[in-house]
Amino acid sequence: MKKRDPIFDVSASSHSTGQGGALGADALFRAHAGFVASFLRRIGIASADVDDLVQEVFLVAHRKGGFVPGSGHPKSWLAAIALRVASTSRRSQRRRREDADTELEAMHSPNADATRVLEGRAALRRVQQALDTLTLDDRATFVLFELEGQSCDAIATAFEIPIGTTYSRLHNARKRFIEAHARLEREDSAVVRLRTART
Amino acid sequence: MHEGPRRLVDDPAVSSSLRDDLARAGEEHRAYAAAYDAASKGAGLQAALMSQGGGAAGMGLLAKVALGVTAAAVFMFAGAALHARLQGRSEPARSGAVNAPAAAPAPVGPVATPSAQRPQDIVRHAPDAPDAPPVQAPATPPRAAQHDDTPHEVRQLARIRAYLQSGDATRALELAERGQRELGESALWQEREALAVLALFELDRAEQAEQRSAVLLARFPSSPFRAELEHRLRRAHEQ
Repeated sequence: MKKRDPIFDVSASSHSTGQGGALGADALFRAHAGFVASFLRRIGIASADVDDLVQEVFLVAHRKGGFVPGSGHPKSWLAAIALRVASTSRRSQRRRREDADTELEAMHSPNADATRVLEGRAALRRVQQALDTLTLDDRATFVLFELEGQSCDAIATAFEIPIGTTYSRLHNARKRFIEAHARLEREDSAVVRLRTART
Repeated sequence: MHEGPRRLVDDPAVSSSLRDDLARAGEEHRAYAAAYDAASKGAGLQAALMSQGGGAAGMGLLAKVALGVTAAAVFMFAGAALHARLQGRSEPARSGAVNAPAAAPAPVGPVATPSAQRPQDIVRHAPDAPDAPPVQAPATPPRAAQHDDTPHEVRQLARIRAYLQSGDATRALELAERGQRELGESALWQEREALAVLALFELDRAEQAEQRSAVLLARFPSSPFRAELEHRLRRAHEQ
């Protein structure tokens, strides 16, 4: 079977998917731009930079000829591109602490219960700070597996790495994440105790 | 069937507070994705990729700027990465390499790599090129690649592809050759040339297509377009 040549195969529409054909950039964008944006934030891109990098990801996806059904999961495939784009971007170092707060406000309505918002905000901050202790590769694997529910097989296929490497990354990521999360919880508890003592 | 590891959020051995936090993060992750306004934010991308005729005339200024910046970043990075890879394969090297991270990952897609050689030179030296007649080369000397051209090149390539997809190979060829004349040794020379060759095949000008294809592949032996070009050549010979 002839291997489909990326980008050059003009027989495949760049904006649709035929039977067995590639899913083009704009169809991919409509279906998965939100996922890519959320993934980029979770691996450390500042919210202000997400839109630009999302565009970069889909330009690269277009240059690759779009997603070819049967070659894994489109989300994993896009995540692999996003990881490469992010890894070359200095923006990945620029994530701001206040991002976690704005993220939460997007999640809850203005009328949401204040306590729940505060709890949610603390939870997201702990998760993000724990994620920030991981290497970019481990972080991407963790986000795809733990938050996105992708299988290790799909991740390995998309990242073109052996399944054993995927398990290893996930193992390392979990170990560090759990340690960091426990530390952050202890810190939060200490702050709460201090505030309680003052009042 | 092999069962993979259990997610932390489903693992009772993990602390409930961690599972709660992860559940909230997962909920937020999905909510953000669902709320992302792909329809409006994709306008710039769509205009660039799908532009026909009027090109990106319908794009807003911000979209144009964003596209320009992002496309330039993508192509600069990918070009630099491929350049590094090609150097290790003794392919023609480009002059004036783009700065790139020391540990730049492999390019994620086929990328044209500008060469220090001009197409005319290649015609004379390419081992696969026929002795005569000479392969058509740009009428005017190509100017040096400019990174500012990249967004324009992206849009132009999208138009060439659109013409090919719509069956208008004549206009596709005209536009590709105009690009070669105007942009010369630019970042996407190889892709433009490959599309020109494809247009020639579509116009049943197989002999010219074969000549230019030979030049292209002599210049870039590991071109990502090799498989497609060779496939089209075989088809042309069969007919």
